[in-house]
This record gives sequence, structure tokens and C-alpha cells, in this order.
Amino acid sequence: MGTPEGREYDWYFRACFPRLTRTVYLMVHDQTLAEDIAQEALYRMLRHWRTVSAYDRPEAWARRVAIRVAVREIQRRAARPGKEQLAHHAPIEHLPDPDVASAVAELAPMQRAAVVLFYWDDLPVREIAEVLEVSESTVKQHLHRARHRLAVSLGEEVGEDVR
Amino acid sequence: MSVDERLRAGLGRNASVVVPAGEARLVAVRRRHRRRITAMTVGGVGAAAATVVLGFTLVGGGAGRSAPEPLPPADSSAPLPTVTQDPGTGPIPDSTWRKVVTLEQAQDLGVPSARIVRDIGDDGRLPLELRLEGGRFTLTGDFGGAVAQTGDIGKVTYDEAGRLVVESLTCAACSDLTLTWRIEDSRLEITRMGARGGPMTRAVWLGTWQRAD
Repeated sequence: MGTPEGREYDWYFRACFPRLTRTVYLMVHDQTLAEDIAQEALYRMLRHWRTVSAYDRPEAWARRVAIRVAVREIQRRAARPGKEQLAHHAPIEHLPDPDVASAVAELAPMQRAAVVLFYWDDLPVREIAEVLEVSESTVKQHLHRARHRLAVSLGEEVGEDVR
Repeated sequence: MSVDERLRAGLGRNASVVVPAGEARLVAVRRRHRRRITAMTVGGVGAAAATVVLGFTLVGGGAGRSAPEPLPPADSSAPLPTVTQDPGTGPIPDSTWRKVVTLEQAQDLGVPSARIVRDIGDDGRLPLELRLEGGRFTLTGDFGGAVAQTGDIGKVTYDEAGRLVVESLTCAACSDLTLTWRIEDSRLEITRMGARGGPMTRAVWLGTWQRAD
């Protein structure tokens, strides 16, 4: 894409793809799937580029799409019969902190997304609510429940709730 | 340790093992988009031709006449209208700058020793390159293999006082930086940073950058 519009998109792709892939990876724990989802989100951004490029933060649009696709994918995988789930099981033992990965993988999809966006992407509750299309109080509830569950799984203390 | 600290550290470490194949994925996206555009163009031409033929048939105008000339193929390579949101260059011209962060500088700025080992490495030097182009910045450096990213990328603007305002696309904690700067000969001096930005961010940005282009 040699046009100025195309170069602008390419720049955004290069800027967003690595971070987006890592965010999705922390939810799905499968690099190929994470790259597929990030690629799909950024492809949709290209299809709507004339509109999205006029936004203040086009990358936020792509992140919203990627997180929704990831949540749906986790739900879809969870609904599969046991043997199929095993076939798609991504090993996490090789990760630097497999305990955290395993504890996060036990969370419900929306809780997983909220935890990753809050602790890894450093997004404020307001922005997480926009990404997940829920209210801020729902996000706080997801984080509250997730933190308590993760604290038990990881054997760590629970501090003050997020604001 | 609190569960919050454990999660931040654990997620960061787990993310660092992912090295995405960005360029290959960009090529795949471009290819898929080209296929879609081509399919839409062919479909559109086909539909238009069918409409014309159907119109001729319905009014009986097609009888005894030669077949209409095929429509010329649409030029899919023609440039699309340019987006108006084209960030202009600021007071600092488009340029490339380099500097090296040393172990001593990082220590003076209060960078934790674990971070120094991870980001600067055993040789005690972190070479960096800052490219400013069209209202954007690209910061690259040899940050070591254990970190999740080898640099940063984002937008630059200028506030009413002429300070450089850096908005990172990859790192929320090192975004919205306000930098006081001046250029002397072939040196870009970044002398102050606003309230945002931790010690490592300060070590990266503050100091003297030498022009490299």
C-alpha cells in the first residue's frame, strides 16, 4: 500500500500488532491463536480505515475488536467437548510464570480480559468498561472476584480493591 | 507479596516470551485486503453489466443490436482519497538521533538494579536511536532479549509552551511525557521531563542526543 493512507495504516499495524498479540496471548495462552486474533482485528481496522483513522486513538478500536474476538474464542473453546478441548490445550509449563498463567486460565472469559487489561495493559477501569462494553461497576466486580480467586490460587494476599 | 504485584510481574514475564511475526502478518493482511477489493470490483462490474443487459432485455432494446462494449475494469491501484488526519511535523524537524544510556546515568536516576541488569545488560551500555518523522516517533535500542519489546513507538505533539509531548502506543506507563528540549548544532538536549515517567523512562529520554542523519 504505497498511498499515504496505506503507509499510515502500515505504521499503525507495526505499532499495534506486537502489543495486541501479547495482550491476547495472556488471555488465550496460544501464540498462533493470539496472532490470528490480532491480525483479524487489524484487518478489520483496515477495512474500516477511512473511519477509524479519523479517531483519536485507532489502536483502541483494534484492541476492542481483538478482546471481543478473544473472549468469544475462549467461550467457544470452553463449550467444546472434553476431548476437543484437550486437542486445543496450549502448554503453559514453559512460561516464566506458569502459576500465574494457570491461575488466569481458570478465570471466566470476561474476568480474564479485565485482569489482563488492568494488570498488563495498565488500562483504567473506565477504558476497560468501554472495551468490554459493560459498566464500570461490572468491571470492578470482575476485578474484585478475579483478585480473590487469583489470591487463593497463587497463595498471595489481597490488598485494597481497585478504584 | 500482594496478588496485584504478583499479577503485574507474572503477566509481564509471560508476555515477554511472545515474539510476534509482525511483518509476515502485515503481508497477509494486505494480501487479504487486495483479494477483497478485487472480488468487490469484479462483482460490481458483473452486477453493473447484468443490470445493463437486463435493462435492454426488458425494454426490448437489445433485439438486433450488437452486444454492448464490456465495461473497462476498475483501476484497483488508483489511490484512495487521502485521510485528512495527517500529523504535521513540529518544531523539531524530521530527523534521527542517537544516544547511549550508561549504567552510571541509570543509577543516578534511581533505576532499580534489577531493571538495569535487564534493560542495559552486562556491558553497561544501552545504545538508542530516536527517529522523529511526520509527528511520530520510533525509539529502538538493544534492550536485551528478556523484555517484551525492543523500543517504543508513538506520536509526538507540542504543547503551548513548545514542549515535546510524547504519546506512546505501546506503553501506557511511558506515555503523555512532557519534555523540555533545545537543539544546539547537531545535538538535541532533552533537559526536563514532566511528572509522568519512571526512572528508566527518564534514563531513556533525558540527556544529549546526537544527530545521526
